[in-house]
Amino acid sequence: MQQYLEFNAETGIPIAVGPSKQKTSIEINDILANEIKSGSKRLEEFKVLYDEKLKKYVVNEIGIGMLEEEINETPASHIIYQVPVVDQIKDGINIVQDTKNNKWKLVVQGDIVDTLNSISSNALWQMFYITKKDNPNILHNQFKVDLLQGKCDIENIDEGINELNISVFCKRIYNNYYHVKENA
Amino acid sequence: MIEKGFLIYANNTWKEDYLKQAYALALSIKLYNSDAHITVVTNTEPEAKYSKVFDNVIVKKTKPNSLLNVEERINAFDISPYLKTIVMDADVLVTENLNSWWKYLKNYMIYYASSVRTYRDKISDSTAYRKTFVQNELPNLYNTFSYFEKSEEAALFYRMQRVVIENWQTFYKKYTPKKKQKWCSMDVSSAITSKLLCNEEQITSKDSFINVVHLKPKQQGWSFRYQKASTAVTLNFSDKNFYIGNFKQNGIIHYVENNFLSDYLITQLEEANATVS
Repeated sequence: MQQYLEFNAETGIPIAVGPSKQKTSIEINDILANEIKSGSKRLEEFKVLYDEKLKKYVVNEIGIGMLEEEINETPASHIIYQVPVVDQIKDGINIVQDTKNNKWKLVVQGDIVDTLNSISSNALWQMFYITKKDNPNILHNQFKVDLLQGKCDIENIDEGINELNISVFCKRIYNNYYHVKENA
Repeated sequence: MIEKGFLIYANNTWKEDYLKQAYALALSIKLYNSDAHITVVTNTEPEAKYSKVFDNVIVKKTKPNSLLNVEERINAFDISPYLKTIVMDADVLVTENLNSWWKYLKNYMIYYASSVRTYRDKISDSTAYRKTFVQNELPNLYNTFSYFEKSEEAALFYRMQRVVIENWQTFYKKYTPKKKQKWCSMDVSSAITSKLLCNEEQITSKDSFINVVHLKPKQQGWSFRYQKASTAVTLNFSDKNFYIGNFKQNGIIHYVENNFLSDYLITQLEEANATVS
């Protein structure tokens, strides 16, 4: 049965654990619920904080590390983010690689379009990096795209590079990026 | 009895999925050591996918208020189904074939790693996380990687270690008066055991090639004070090699932070294993 931790929204201090969802409560796993119910962990040992990165409330154990400071740190894997490979266009920012014809294009669709349209600017450039497969240390090429105008300043990658043996990396500014391999 | 194998403890807590870490470790062991025999001791029934990579699964429910891994790990000597056992923390990855390690360990009945490297392959001389050991002159042992052969010598050591752990507050007060840890630690307990038995030279060698890439940030020699190593470097797996930052890794990596173990990394290890077999 799903368990919830009810907490004070202003202070983050937990109030109770139970199976019913309250106005200010978050889902917790069975292990934590059982530990609190059995008395091996006390409610006072926890605090519920808003995680800016995850955009949701998370439970933290007081005194285990510098929690608030840690939460605000950005993992390097978000700055050197490997764009996941998919075989068809999805909602989000799609870098589409036509492997047969060695052509590239940008397709933006879904909720992200509204987010981008709310930006009052003529252009929004983001850099992308083409590397050896799964290895951000071996750079083959780089290009930039205008997320607002749908422009992509690369048409093909250098000759001599195996189009199937590459990865795309970028800084993860938005949630959903995809490297779409067409005709793979 | 099976001649040799790996023993991993993976007791899940409310915020750490150690079984997932143990699964990744087992995949990395099998990738480079296809004949390896692996036992996991866990408090959680593993899902079918996980069970495939472990040759032996021992499920032991932990008691509330237990010392979790520490409480269970004192049973390692008794529970191991192997004549010769390598015990590793769950948050470790193996990056190479370990035949030469096994060969070297034949010289010992008990062995603990006692030096650590940075991800740039330099021996780390930082004592930032080892103040208890330095100030109290304890052997600098790391349970991240340890080894034992079923023998009278090892049995005595682990019996003594059990006494230390079961009475850790008393022992810590007596043997670590200058800088006492407030929790029961396998590393400190093993070090006190070794000091009591005066056997440091018989169970470790500081100059051995057997050491660990330890990814705690203060071990790395960085001038910037990162709170977490995963905010500074990434861990990648490409062409069956592990890279941290732009350094190819060898030996074993103790990655410590969960951020390093991405779902994609596990998928890559699964795929690499599939091509091996």
